[in-house]
Amino acid sequence: MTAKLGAGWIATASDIEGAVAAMTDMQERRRAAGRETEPIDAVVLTGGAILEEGEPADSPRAIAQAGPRAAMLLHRAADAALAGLPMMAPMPPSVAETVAGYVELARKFTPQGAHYLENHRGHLMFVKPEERPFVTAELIRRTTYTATERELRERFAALAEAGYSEIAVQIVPGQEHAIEDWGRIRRAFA
Amino acid sequence: MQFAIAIPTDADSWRVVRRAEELGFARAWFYDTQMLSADPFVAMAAAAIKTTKIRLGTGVLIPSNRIAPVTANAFASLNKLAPGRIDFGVGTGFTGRRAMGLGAVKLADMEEYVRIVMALLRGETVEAEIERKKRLIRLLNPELGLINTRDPIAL
Repeated sequence: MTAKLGAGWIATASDIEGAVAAMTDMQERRRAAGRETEPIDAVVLTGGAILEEGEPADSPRAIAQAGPRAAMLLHRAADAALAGLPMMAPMPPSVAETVAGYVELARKFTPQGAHYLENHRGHLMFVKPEERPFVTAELIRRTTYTATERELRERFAALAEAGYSEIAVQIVPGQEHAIEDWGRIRRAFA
Repeated sequence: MQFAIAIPTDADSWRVVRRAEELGFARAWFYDTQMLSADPFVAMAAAAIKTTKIRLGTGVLIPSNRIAPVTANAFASLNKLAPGRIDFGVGTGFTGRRAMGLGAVKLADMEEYVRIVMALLRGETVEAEIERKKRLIRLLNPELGLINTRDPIAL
């Protein structure tokens, strides 16, 4: 539909390979729609945290700023297992066991039959205490843009090379000061 | 490459949006997650008044949250406060609908919704199904200037 309407496009891939593949697919669809020569407003919507050198991906700061985005995969998996809704995103094999552990927790959410109330509480905003054990460094690394400034600049440059025109970074409630860090990265691309 | 912020909407998101503008961010996307955060149009209106150049967009609007004419009106109203700075981001609804135990809106329904919204914003008379009946609707007096349908709203 995006290609047919010549609309802007928001992609939510959490890794470079996925984002590049999504762009390749979109470009093909635009070609099929006769819009390949038109400029495209192509956004990658993501979240993460800018780590200091040596800072782990599950530091308190990373959990606060990137954890909510990482927990999306947990919530999707619970929706898939408990309500048959589509996953919407690939499961990195290295976190499959972690995610399965969260799904078992979600089976106990009450009221039964409305697991989505507790499952989505805090979605994209904070990590619930009961889900904290499942928001691991690996989950954050695999599903968010959480890395050092140098690594993030390289990733964003790869997205620009692939044809994206905008990186949209999530600012989590209570972590608004993170915008100053992201502002530094923005200036590097100015 | 430009940079934007995406925010779980707070009624006073204008504070972080204004700071984003000061730091050179090009756009702010406001989540439409009615069971989790504040209403995006309320927050976007405040941000529209408190900023001068950053673009403001729904990131992304859920069609089932508002009938199409209400959405068209809301965007045209924002467009009066921030002419030419408004983006209509739309999706089939993930977070906002799943938080109520619902799956996504059908793609065909979203496409029809977008058709109606954009036609109304172009000043057209458009046929839309409302309360299970096809009806002709249009924004009746945009020339009064209470809303702005002159400056483009990007899809």
